[in-house]
Amino acid sequence: MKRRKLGKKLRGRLKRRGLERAHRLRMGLRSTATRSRASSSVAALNVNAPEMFVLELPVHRDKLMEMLDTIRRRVLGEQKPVYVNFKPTTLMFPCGTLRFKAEIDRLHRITGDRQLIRCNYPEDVVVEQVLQKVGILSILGKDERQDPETFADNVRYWHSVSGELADGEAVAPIVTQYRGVLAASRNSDLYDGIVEAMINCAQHAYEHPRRDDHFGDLEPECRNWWMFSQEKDGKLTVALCDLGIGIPASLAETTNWPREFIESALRAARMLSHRDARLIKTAVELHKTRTREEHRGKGFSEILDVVRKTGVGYLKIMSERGVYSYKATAPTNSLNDHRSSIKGTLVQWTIPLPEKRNECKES
Amino acid sequence: MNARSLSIAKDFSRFPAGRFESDGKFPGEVCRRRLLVPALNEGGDLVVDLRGTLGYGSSFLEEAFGGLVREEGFSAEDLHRRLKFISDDETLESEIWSYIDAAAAVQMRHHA
Repeated sequence: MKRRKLGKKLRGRLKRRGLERAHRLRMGLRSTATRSRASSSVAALNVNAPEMFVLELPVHRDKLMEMLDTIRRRVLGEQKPVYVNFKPTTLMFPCGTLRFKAEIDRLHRITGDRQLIRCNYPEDVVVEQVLQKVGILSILGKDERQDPETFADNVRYWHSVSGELADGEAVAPIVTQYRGVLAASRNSDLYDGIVEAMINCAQHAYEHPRRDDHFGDLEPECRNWWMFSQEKDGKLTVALCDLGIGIPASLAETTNWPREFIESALRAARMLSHRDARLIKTAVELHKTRTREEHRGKGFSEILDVVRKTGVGYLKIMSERGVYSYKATAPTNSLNDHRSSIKGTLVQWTIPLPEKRNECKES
Repeated sequence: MNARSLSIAKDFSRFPAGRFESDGKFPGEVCRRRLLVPALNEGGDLVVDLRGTLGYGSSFLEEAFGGLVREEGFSAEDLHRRLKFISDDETLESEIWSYIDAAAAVQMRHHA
């Protein structure tokens, strides 16, 4: 811990004096140009992509997270190249695809080297269309060879954006697309919920570097969120992901609520199964509790309101190992902890679209 | 005196989001300081048009309007007398008043 603090201080001083290069050398990080030369001369590690990019099914989730851990260790830890083999992949869901894109984008931002992660084309045409549509092929340096006019229906309506801080403008393309389709109040509830998830990310997700799996002082340099929306089978899915410390860790450090209340919630969660999911639930329900700064802490309520107020759809909040699910039609929640952590937080809303509009689209 | 009027969508942003300046480009704190406080300081009634934005998160509304009491020293009574709203969403106005009244209640408790 002491070593890291010293590193941070030194890094700040060096940056101010324009000596970042010296700092990078001290940290063992080569310059972008040197790294590019290095990454092209070192043999790439072959990594097989999973058959399914999904976070809700345990086996596939474990495989996806295992692959991302391997890529992260190789690229950040060893600063050596990786080659992602997409041939085995046949299905891509928003949550898994979003988590993958977030990791690759973050590694590019941190290293500044686009040569370190390369890939081949998948065999499945729809998978290739998805990878092209959400910009993964482009960030991995592959030509976009599929004609957007030929995209499958369930690919055409994917939308992808990333940013920092609460950025209402970034939500506009998603929300305005459903103006006149969703009721005005649902439209603004969706906007409010997404924006509050962005605020949670801006205020809490990157308070400090993750304590596991960090490589020097690199981690806090990327404070982004990544967002996908997808329309499929008459349902709109919107997912927002960050690669921060996760809700369980940020809850433990919050100062918005009385310390004794937080401590008791943490103690209770530790004693029971599904610890991370219970802590997500605690965070969601905290708005009912008086805050130290009483005007704050209502964000999760609005994240939930996207489905709660209208009585349809469902919400999933995944953070670290935990998954908190809320179904509006049967207003109960379910809690589940997985074996693998997603190393961050992903909020996903699924809202049914009115049937009338789907008929219009098909005709 | 004629009532002054302002539109959040036209005079501030169609994309209000966040509480503090550090949260993003168009947060409640900035709206309050740049728009609401100067207009209220001119005296008289103020009509705030809430239409035309994509939405309003509670963080934005609380900081913009609750902050008038908590940070800027306006009393809830004064605001009830002078502030009027135009909105297509009837719940929005009551939500704003709940933030103003809650901020006033907290002030009262602290001064008691």
